[in-house]
Amino acid sequence: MATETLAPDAVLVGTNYTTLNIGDVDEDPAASDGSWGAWDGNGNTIASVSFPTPTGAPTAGATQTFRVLVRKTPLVTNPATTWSLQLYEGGSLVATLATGTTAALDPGEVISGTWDAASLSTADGSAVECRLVQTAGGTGGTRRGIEVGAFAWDVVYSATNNYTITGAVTAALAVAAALAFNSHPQIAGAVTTTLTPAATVTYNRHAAVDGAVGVSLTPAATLIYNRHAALTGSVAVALTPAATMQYAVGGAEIAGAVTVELNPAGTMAWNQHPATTGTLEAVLTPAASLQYQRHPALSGAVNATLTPAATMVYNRHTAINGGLSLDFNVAAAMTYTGANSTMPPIRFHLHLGLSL
Amino acid sequence: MAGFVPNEGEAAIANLVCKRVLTDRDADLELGLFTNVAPDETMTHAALTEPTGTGYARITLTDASWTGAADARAYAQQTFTGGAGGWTGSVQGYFINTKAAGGTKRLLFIEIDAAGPYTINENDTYKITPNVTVA
Repeated sequence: MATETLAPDAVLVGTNYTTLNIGDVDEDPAASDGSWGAWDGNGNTIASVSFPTPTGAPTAGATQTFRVLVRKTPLVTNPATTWSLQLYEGGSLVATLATGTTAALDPGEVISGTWDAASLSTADGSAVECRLVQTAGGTGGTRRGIEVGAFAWDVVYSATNNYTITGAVTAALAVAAALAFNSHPQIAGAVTTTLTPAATVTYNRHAAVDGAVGVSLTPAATLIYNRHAALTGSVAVALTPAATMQYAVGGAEIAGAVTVELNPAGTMAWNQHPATTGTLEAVLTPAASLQYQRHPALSGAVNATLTPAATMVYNRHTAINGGLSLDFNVAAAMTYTGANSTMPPIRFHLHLGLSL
Repeated sequence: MAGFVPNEGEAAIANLVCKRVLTDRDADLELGLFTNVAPDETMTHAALTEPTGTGYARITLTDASWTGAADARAYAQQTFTGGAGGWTGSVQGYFINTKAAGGTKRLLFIEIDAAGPYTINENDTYKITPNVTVA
């Protein structure tokens, strides 16, 4: 519990007073400022004041105290002047706290009365009023009045604490996903690859490819191209090495069309080995010697244009079931060896710079 | 000290955001006071202790009433007031938890009041303005 002393904040009633200003009665009764409400010389006085709301609700069961500084007006005769100190709430009498008789002239005396907050209707004390009623003062020309010089309410209240906190919660999110990217096997779509190495390149192609493949290889020097495994789509390969080239189609079947355009700057060795069932379009234009060797069965048509700048050796073996059209443009010597049977017609177009 | 998200809250957020698990996150949240001393990351809703006494009850934080933008959200100040006889237990701070109609309430946020602890007597007030930042 805590205590405080409240001064009145308004005069509510000032009966039979000439003047009763709040400034006259708002100091502590124990330390009067010397100002008083002034009796008007008529009947018994009544003075009532209100108070501000206490800091905390008046504590029930504890002692609340009103203190009032009073005096009687200084007439020659001395009739008894009696008073009644009362607790009001919102304009209604709650209780008479004390009664008495004062004979005090200036500077007066402090009277008091106590009460319990349990008797209040408004628990926070905001409606509390203190009223001093003069109950007797003589009659006629000897009448005296009771005047008030100060009111105070000694409040006992329940102390309250007001705590506040402005929240500051931080939620930290962290994301750290492991990343692994491995792209291995089958390719179902088209693939276009352009490789331009500065020196030797080895190109190895494995596994199945269901779509078209376009490969353009332009190494500055030697190129080795190895092609394996099955290929069901078409293949267009343009190989233009600056120097020596070795092209080997080995391993397995090619079911689709193959177009090969090889333009090596120097010597070229072209070896085509196993079965080819599709059409083969080959344009071979090496800048120097060309050695073309074709071995086993070929069931599709072959259209080959061979234009070596120098010596050419052409070796052809085994059976060919499709048409064969060879266009030789030999700038120098050429050796042709035909072996085994050939079923369809074969057309040779020879354009020789020297002799066959 | 600044408030934090305990492990239970982290799990609840991860389930809610990544897996859209709503079992433990019914409509609205709750604001309450705790009396545990120095709770840490391992604190759970089930382990919370709260003051007892007239007038103490968790306060519902309505989903739609959160304000803010970007990565910060705030809620209007909420007031706890001690009733007759005050409360038993020293208040160490506040927490916010989920409401779960069919699941389990989860402790989302908790903040120790550096100015505490407080003993809440009759008519004492404890006012909290929730703020959450996701960084």
